[in-house]
Amino acid sequence: MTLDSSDKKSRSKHLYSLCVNPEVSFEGQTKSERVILLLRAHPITFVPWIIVASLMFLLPFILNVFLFSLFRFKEVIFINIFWYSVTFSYVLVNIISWLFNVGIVTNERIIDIDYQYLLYKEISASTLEDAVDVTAKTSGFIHTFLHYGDIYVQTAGNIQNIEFYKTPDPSDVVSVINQLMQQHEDRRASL
Amino acid sequence: MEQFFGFINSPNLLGIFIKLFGIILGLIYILFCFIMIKQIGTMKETINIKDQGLLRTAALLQLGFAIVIVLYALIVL
Repeated sequence: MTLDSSDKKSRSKHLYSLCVNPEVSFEGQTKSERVILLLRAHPITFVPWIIVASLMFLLPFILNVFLFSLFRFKEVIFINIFWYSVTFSYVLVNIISWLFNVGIVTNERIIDIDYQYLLYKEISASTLEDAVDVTAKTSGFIHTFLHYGDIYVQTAGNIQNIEFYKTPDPSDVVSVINQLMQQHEDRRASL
Repeated sequence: MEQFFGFINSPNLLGIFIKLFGIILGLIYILFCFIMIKQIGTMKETINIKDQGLLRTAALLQLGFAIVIVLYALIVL
């Protein structure tokens, strides 16, 4: 991935987990601010909850044999309806959680939006000026094979550090952030 | 007293328990669905992802399931 500040073409990779110049806006975005990167967890992180959801989907086929000997027909139907509704909610919660737990890199700031259990929102932000060091960490066979890892943005002073976990192509993302930091530094120096 | 113990031991008691359990569970599920709808709205205010209303539709579908559960528990069980 190469960054060209004049290139405003929108594109995405890995099922929208890495979007370049995405057409999104966020709370607190200034008029001059342009979203350059939108980061989500790599799609491989879907695997655990897809397995659980598949098991939840299949479980009634096995359990119904026993349930019919314990409950009446209409009660078993009720249990099944409720079970599949819960399965649907489980999938929906996981999709929403993935969609809205994002990292945003703009031409001015680096922002990390985290939702824990959907209800607790945590937003960490740092200006490119305050970002001191950006590091990508890829560990293990699966991370290396599928090109995803964690990104740590160290900030100056007491400002909270920013971390993006399980991001696709972490070295490319670090390269983009470094380029932006450099551009920002150059602009400041020329003033 | 005998009547009371007779009622306790009757097979209807399990049915009443299941019906009550179903209604309460369904109502809690409806509450959860309303929280989800509200939360999706709040999340979309934080970051506008242009999903063309798909998430809201899914959340409303979920609310539909919850209403079906409560109605089923009230009418059929």
